[in-house]
Amino acid sequence: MARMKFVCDAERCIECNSCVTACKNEHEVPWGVNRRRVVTLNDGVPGEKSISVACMHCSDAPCMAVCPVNCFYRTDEGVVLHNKDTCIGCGYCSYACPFGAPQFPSEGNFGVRGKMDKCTFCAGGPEEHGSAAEFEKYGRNRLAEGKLPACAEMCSTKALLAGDGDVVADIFRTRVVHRGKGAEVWGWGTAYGSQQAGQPPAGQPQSQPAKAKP
Amino acid sequence: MNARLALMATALLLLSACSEPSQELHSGNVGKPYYDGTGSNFMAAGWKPGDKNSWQQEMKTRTQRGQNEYTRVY
Repeated sequence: MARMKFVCDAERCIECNSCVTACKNEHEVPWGVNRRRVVTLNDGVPGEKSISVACMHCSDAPCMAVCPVNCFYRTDEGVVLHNKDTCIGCGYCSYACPFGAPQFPSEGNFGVRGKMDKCTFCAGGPEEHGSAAEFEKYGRNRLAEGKLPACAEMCSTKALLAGDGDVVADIFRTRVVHRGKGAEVWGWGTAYGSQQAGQPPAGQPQSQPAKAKP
Repeated sequence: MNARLALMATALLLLSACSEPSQELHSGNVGKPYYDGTGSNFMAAGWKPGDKNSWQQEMKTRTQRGQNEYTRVY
């Protein structure tokens, strides 16, 4: 089996935040901690792009390299996880991560930085699979239940793909080949207007005069 | 002879802190493999816990079934 990977299709993501909601609900993530979030570039400008971001479970993870207490480990499936019992909450991983994945809950009366929390690819942690202790610290272990991450399975437009890297890459490749680009994309004319949108197919009589589209 | 032995023992004691630490890139219990399952009622049907190939196949099937609509369209 290849490594488990996330891929987010920026052409499909509609910034609905269902991935964020699914993650928070599945793992009962506390306030102030977002294991996953949607980032939008050029927000409000035609052609804006959104992408869902979380831990990318890097093959050569910088968080793992800088952790002074070696709390990170990688599973056979390529999922980067960490041990909260070892974590000292120093924040080095937060500076090292290019995706801003590590999150730090505020704890206590003075908002002390707590132990690091991040996306687990719904794969739990070092505790026993499916145990209450695991759920308390890391959330649900869907991988051991034979399921895929909740964010990807809940994605309404299937923009967010998760699973075996080879399978996910195949799905994405098929998609890109079939959908084309620019005005070839299905629905482009409806969304942005075109000379052809709303016109009957060539060779067929026109029942009513077509309105000019901008 | 005794002085030499004492010197060696002292050196061993003093240099013990200079030994090589573990170079393993993980800490704590890495845990059982995922294909062992959780034993809960929330397990997905269609695979056999403890069977690695069965779990891997279920993962692939689930990815295709749930995330690839082109298999239904074309």
